[in-house]
Amino acid sequence: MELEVEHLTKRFGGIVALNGVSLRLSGNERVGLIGPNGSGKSTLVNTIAGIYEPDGGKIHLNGQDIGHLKPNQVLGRGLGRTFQVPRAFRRMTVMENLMVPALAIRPERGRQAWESRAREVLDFLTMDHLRNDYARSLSGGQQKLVELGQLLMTDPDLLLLDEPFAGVHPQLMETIFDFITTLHQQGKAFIIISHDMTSIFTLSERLLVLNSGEIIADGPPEAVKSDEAVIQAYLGEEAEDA
Amino acid sequence: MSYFWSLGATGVTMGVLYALMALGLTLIFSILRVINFAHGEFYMLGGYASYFILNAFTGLHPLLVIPLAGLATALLGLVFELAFLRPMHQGRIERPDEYAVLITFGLSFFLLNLALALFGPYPHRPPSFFEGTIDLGIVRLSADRLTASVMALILLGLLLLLINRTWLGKALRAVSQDKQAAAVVGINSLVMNSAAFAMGAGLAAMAGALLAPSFFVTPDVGAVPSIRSYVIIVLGGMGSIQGSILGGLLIGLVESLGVGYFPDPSRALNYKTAFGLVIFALVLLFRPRGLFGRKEA
Amino acid sequence: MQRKSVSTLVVILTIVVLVTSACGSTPEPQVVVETVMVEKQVTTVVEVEKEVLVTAAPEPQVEGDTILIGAVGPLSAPGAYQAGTEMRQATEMAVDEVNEAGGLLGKQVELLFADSEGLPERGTAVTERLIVQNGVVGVTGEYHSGVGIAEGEVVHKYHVPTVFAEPWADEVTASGYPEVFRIAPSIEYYSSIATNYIAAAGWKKIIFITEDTDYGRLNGPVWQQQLADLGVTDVEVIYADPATEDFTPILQRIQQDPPELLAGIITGIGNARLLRQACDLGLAPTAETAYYGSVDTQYPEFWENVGDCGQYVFFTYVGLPEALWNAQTEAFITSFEERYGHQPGGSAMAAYDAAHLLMEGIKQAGSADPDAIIDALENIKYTGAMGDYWFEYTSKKPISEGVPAWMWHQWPTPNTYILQYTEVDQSTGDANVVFPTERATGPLYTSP
Repeated sequence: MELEVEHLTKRFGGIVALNGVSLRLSGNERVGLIGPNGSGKSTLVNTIAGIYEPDGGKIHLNGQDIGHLKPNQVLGRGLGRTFQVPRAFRRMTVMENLMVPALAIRPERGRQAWESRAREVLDFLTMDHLRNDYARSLSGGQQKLVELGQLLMTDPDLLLLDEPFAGVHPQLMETIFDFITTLHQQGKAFIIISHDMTSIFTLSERLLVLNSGEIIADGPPEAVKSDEAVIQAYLGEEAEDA
Repeated sequence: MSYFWSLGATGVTMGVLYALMALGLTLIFSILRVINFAHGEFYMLGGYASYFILNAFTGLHPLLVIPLAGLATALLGLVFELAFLRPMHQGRIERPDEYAVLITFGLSFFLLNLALALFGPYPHRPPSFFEGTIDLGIVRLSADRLTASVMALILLGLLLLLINRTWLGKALRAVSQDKQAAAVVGINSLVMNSAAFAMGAGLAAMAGALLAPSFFVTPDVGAVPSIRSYVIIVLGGMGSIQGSILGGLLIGLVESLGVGYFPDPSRALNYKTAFGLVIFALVLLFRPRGLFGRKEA
Repeated sequence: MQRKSVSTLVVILTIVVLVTSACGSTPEPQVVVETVMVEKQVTTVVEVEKEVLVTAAPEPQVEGDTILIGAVGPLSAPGAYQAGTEMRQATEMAVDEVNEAGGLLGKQVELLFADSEGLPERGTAVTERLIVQNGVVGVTGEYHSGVGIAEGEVVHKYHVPTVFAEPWADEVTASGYPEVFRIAPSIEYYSSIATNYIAAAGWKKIIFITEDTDYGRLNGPVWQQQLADLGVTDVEVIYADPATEDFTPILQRIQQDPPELLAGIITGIGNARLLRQACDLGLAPTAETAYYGSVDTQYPEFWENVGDCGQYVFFTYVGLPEALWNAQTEAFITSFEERYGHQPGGSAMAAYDAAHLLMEGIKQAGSADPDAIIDALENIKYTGAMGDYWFEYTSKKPISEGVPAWMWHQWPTPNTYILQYTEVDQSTGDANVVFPTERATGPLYTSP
């Protein structure tokens, strides 16, 4: 897996959300994406995933230009993402939620095969007992797990997770942790956005820090933690909040 | 008492047909977020399609032509969607909401006047499905009407099966619930839009073809059914399938019972649509979202 | 944004519903707004009185090589465009015949046919335009009653001789305007043929379903009164929007206590719909309940739309049934079929004769002077496709005590018959003429 982002720019009206962001990921890296509020983390993830059209720059996945592809096409190329506020399909059962992406990406494998795969995934996420429940009756954390389940069904090479731990019960957090580590061992790469510093520092091999649409730090967690610019960025935010 | 049952039977048989047409409109709205103002014209085209097909192939049984009429109109709907609505969903239109209203209105006028020019103003009638009256003791119904209703019920059943059991149905539901999330899990919403619009057009057309032997076809035969469809989908809750079905049945019953029991027969017939609108207003008063309307649009 | 667009949609929807139900609820080509227009009539008369003093009649156009004749009729919805179209065809044919024979007053006749759309205000506007802008010498045609009444006001205001072909409302000639002549039956006359037939056939319990327009609203009380005078008192009249799709609930209501005769007097698509739906319910025509259809029953499309249900239906036919054709009728029908590829209906024949009458009046007047033309028409004796034309009550013989006002400038013997279909897909030519009995070609009533 090889992700190359070059000079990515995205504007909303007069606001420059991303200002020439460049980064590179390969293999099965686990990258944490952090930064103060409004730094452009979600915008970056949305643009890479195809929800926003970039105003400038390039995005290459495994050598192919995905900059102008739509989200379903990006998923087809091996890049999946989850949302900060879980967006599982509330009026479908958990099982249906998992079947939808599966049959969208690779319908030829057939319903039966996918159904057994879905059961495996649900087992892994310890949610098999909820498979016939409607997503709207699940807790926020459980809905996040459903989203992760959807991702598993499509087997992407690179997973973009937006705040996977926000508002999640500690027990479920463990499940999510397991999810990430297991998949990493299987060779998947991750970009994880989180405000939960403990989790992020534990999970990531590498940290990207975004501030005002620009990358101000890129390196191992320890190094980034003591980076002047990073401290300034966060302190600056705290000073504003104070 | 048999009078009540007769009226009830008429109401339910019509209600099922109303529901079929309204379902088409709901489908289009819930997937494309567009109100199809040409829905009545698809109904009209379905009637004409069945008339012309049966005219050309006199050996065919009229019931067999219903899916054909639906298919032909669905194709027309598809072409329209690809040409005029897809650009809107690709972000190439400046003011998509106003555009959607105007373009479907435009299609409506176009189809109506095209039909007038091509087919003339004189009413036509495809042959009956089955001639005569069905006498069930307490209830007497026209054989054509009953057949149309049973066919509509079957079509509704098939549609529900499709929505709930097939992947296409799940994908459509996904897009109607959350377009972006659907895209992120691999569903091409543009393809779903086209599918939904074609299906919606086909449903309206089949309703039109089913009712053509009873009501005949003229270029403007779709005007009243289309208005009724708008009322039903708002009554039932925009985008709700159960809402459309229940709404259709409710309007059918209210109209029939209203005309049957209102004291002055002349007024009764003229107030037929009004009875439905009164129920519509009452429901919205107490449930602004409609019977099954959702909070999230 | 979502909530806003939903409520915007609901608002748009409501407006659409209201607007479209106001103008779109009667999408059929029918006379619609008539009852309202009758009230309007009264005010227009007052205004016209004032204006007559001030406006001079414009010069009729006789300069140059052509003489202009105006004609009006419904060519589009909500008017009865089926009838109007064949009226236009027949009028054009009449004009061409006159031109081939040398024209009028040494000039070629040019016909201007205006679409009155079945709406009185349109009829008024287009007639005025024909007179004021185009300078027509005379006016002919029209099908709808309410529209004819309105147009009568205009031709009176401008003093333009007019021969109406089809509007039946008594008021058309009861106005007593010197300019207005009519060859169609009045409603009273037309109804009397039907009511006399009904009484003769012996039906005692009758329900009429008629259209909620000038035509229907004027007819209804007339039938009830005439039938009561003939001793038939159990007569109910129900008024319906002619664009009604589904009459079934009202028919089921009637089926609770079925009448001996069900009369569906609705013009346009409503005629076939009502019959079809009554038939599908097993209500009529049956041995227990006879069915009386409207004038649209005469058209070939009737069979296409009602199928077997049309057998045993009887209807009033205004025109000359085939059994009673004269040489003129044969010639007209042959020419019309040759030229237009289909058989002409009663309205076509009426339009043809009315146009010829007007032109004959101009010819006999020897000038375009309206008074001369009116005088010529008052004294005319002319044989047309539907019979021998003359006008009994004129300026020489005014309406007297006991004579209905509508007899003014009215052809006294307009062809009105009752026909009954005895076979499926029967033409009006093969149908039985059943009334008046002196001219009958079959039994009074054949029951299913």
